[in-house]
Amino acid sequence: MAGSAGCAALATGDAAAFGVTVHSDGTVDFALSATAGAAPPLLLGAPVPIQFHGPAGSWNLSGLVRTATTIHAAMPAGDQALGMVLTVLGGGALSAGDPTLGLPELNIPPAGTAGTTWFRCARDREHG
Amino acid sequence: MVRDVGKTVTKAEATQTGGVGRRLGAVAFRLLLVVAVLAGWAGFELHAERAQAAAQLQDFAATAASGFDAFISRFTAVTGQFGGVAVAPHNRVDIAVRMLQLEPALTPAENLFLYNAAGQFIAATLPLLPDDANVSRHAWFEAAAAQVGEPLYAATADAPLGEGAGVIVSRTIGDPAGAPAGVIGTFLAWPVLRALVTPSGLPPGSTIRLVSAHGTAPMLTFTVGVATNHPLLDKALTWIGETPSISATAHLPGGLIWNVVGPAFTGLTPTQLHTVIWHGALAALGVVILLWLLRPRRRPAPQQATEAPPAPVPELEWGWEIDSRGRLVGVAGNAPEPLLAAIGTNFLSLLAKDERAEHLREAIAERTPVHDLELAIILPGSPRGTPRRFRVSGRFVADTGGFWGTAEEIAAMEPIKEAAD
Repeated sequence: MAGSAGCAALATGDAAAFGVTVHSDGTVDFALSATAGAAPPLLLGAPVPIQFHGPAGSWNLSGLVRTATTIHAAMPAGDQALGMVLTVLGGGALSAGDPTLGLPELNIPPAGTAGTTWFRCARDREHG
Repeated sequence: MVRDVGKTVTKAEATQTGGVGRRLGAVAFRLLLVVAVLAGWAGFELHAERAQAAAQLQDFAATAASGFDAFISRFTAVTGQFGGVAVAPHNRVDIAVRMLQLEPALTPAENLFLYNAAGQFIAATLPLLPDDANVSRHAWFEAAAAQVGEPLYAATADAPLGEGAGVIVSRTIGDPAGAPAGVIGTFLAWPVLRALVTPSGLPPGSTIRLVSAHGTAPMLTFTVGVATNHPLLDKALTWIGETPSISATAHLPGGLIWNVVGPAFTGLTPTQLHTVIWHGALAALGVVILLWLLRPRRRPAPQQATEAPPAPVPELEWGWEIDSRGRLVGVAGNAPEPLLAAIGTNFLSLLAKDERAEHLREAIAERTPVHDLELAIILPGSPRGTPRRFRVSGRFVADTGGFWGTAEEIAAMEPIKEAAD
């Protein structure tokens, strides 16, 4: 995972990027974006599930198409959201929808100690 | 005729050497007594101070044990909630969420983590690091997996899923069937552990050691603050066999031993130290005054005969004194003038030999007083057999080892016969 500002983290790959933002208003945003041209345009507002598989855990999340290349999901900040974020920071594969959609899979490397530092920030924000 | 001058000179000669020596000895004795009382009293107060500090340190040990015990109780309670949980990969997120919910109860520790019995990562409250995906070869995990039950402590240079050195506190948990399913633990960085086992108010200079019953080397050794040393006091205490340091020990859960060694008098300010010495000086002064009040009083009679001006004696009375060897060393008052020539000679040799002279000789030998003993004294220059009779009283003089007394001539005395040799 590369790049973090405050309690926002972004993992980028050749064809996609995945961002997590922990807001102080008590919400956590997940956003999966396909690089322009890497996937066919998405239908705005369509529900698209997001799946993650990694050595620290696996989860599924219901998302919605917000733009032609972005799938967005939001959930209340809390231990459930932090638990999902934890698994992402351990590295793994992120995908959205079924293969027929043609969305690229994003391989996220372990965040390492930078991810630990970021997670402390996120946890403090979530508890704050 | 009174001859006080002759009496004084002879007395001085008789007592000069012994008297000076005794006085010097008495002064030295009193000086030593003052020093001993001063040191004794100060030692008593310091000993009490030391005992109080030791008791206080033991209280600190109890406080440290209590604080750590509370943490371990929380750890046991938190980790106990994972007993019976399916320690499986499909359950990781749920376990992580549960850990995140319970982790605040473990403050000040952080990073609750769980590995399965094979050492594979299951869940944690910090992100998984690649090197920590499998800890089956880590010494702390091997030790923890081998012990079921109470928490186990292991010092480590690298915290699991984190950075830094400290202590891992862990314990095994069972699966739904009760078999060992994994090891759950938390991590206390050294500063956190230090804070946890350091009671507030611990005397500066105290050194805390945390020893695990499973290892010989201390897990943690550190000193709190800087001691205020009293080098001279420490040396003095060492000299009298008191160690200048005190220690206390507490047994913590899981076989941990908390030990502290602290300076016994670090809390003693210079003002307090001066107060202790002042108290000792007052005690010494009190003893000196007491000794002065209880001093042995000199008998009035010898005092008159030896040092103080002779008290007026009745017209016919006169005083006499002999030394420890029986020599006449002084006369006073209306002593017969011929007696002055006998000073320096054996007083008993001047007596006519009869039972009463023998009685005086025995009294002198036994140091018992005589009263109104009628004695016949053959004064120098008088013909043998014409003694004069005197009523003689006397008593032992402790200062000189001699005898002192008074005599009064008996008028109209009949000549007495001298006893045959």
